[in-house]
Amino acid sequence: MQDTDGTTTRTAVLVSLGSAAPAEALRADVEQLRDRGYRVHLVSRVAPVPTLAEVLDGRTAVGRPTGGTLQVSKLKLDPHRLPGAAVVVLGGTAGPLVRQADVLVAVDATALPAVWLAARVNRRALAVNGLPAAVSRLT
Amino acid sequence: MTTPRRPHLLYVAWGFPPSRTGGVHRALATVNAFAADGWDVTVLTVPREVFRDVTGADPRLEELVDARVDVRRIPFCWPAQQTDLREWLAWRVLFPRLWATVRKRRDLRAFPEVGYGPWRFELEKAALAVHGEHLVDLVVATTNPEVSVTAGTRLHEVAGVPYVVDYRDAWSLHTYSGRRRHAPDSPVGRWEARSLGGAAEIWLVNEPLRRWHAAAYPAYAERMHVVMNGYDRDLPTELVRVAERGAPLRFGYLGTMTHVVPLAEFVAGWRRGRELSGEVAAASAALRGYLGYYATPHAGLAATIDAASGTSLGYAGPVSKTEVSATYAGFDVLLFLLGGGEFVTSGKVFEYMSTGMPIVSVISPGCGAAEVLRGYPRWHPAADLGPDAIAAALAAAADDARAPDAPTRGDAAREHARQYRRDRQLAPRIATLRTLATTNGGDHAGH
Repeated sequence: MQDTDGTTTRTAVLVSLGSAAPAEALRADVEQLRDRGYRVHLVSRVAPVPTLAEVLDGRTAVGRPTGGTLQVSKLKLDPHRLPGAAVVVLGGTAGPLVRQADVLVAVDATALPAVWLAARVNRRALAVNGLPAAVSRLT
Repeated sequence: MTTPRRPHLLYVAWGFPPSRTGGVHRALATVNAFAADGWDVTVLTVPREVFRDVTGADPRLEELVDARVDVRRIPFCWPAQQTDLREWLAWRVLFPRLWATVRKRRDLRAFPEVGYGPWRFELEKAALAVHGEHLVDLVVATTNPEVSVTAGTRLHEVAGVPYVVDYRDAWSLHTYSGRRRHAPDSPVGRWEARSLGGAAEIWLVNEPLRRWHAAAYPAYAERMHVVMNGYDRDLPTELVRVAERGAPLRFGYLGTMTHVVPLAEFVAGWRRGRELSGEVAAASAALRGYLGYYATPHAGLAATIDAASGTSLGYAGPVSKTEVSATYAGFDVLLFLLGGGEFVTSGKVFEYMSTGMPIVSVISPGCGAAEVLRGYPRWHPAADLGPDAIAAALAAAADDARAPDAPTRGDAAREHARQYRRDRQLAPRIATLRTLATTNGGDHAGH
């Protein structure tokens, strides 16, 4: 991704589709990614806790905060399975972000299908299960 | 006059530095103790990446391994924890339950342990290779994973090499519930009987575990020994002090937090303590360590802590083993949270006691750690897991930390803890095993 001043910024997109708010425990790893020059964006169902939100570069809400299936036309889709995952990470505002990301990270188990699918669409991105593994791979 | 050959130990530990997993300190201390006793030591473990990417690593822990120890990292495939999602097959994502079922069946084909079973073949191959290069006199395998025993059983079958099974936990027994989880005639039961039956020694970490195994396997009872976890080295005496006058007290927890740690109960007790005690209300509590068994923080545990925001209780991340002293120095009172019954003692309790600092325990009734803490002069147990009992223990520990005679009682507490130094636990066993290894003199068929 190219900034307005011509510099290239790398982007890490974290995906969380679980029912718990992304926690402060992720903060240290987010800060490490930022220290390495990454913009860190969260795509999540539930808003992160404030102490995590303050170190993120942005957050995109997807799915329903209370959980459950998504109504798409006459279909009910589960975002934890592939068809629903496609809607939440490739559709709406999350789509362009995911397609341009350099790193895609599933920060909880429910996000694994979504991030796997995103990696099929954005083949140049590193796609990782777990933020610690992403941090260690980028060092 | 010829110099006697140095005995050669083959030590097997899945979790070895830089791992931060449970039992790594026991593994580290054991190999260092054997090396210090004049043994050649070869370790079989897994590649660093397993810890770096999946379970969490403490890179500085490797610095503590005796330089004379030969560490061999043999291949370990862990498909269930594959972190590179680009490597995942489509059918794994489309049919996750089917994938898990197939995976499990494949794992169990080699050895009755899901996730780790296939490591058996790598272990056996590596053990034979090491023995071929440099005659092995003794194998010590620390479990879990239980598959680690296969290096010893294989070398025993092929070359008569004696081996020790070091049960940090238990296999057939569920240590938290106290129930048997594998029947004697199950694949696990048969493997356990086989591995214990051939072992020169069987190490258990506490007396209740030794008793249970002695009752389950009476024929092998005389070979069972308690080798408690203990603590590794004396911490600086500066930890024993009167809490700084006028400054808020700092409570601290250091250790891995899992679903068996009564975290939610502690959070409720902390809130109650703040209502009942001005000293606790002004204090802070820091929780240090990993949240769960893996490097990725467990969402439920993280949410439990986040729910306590606004109470000066917070999560402050893991701590390197090399920073433990400095971390303790930043606390005035230690929090010891643990679940489980008589079979559970933990390793952390020994290090806690070695500080000489006040300890608040929030543990399940009947927990084995209480027996270890009994007699420690600065122990402040919560009578139960209710908020009022926890609040009372916090207040008592706060008074202890402020008491003018804290240094004197702290010295007494450290003296009490000294019986649990790890070297005191290991020394008698190493001496006995040296005799066994050297009298066999390379012809191990005598066992």
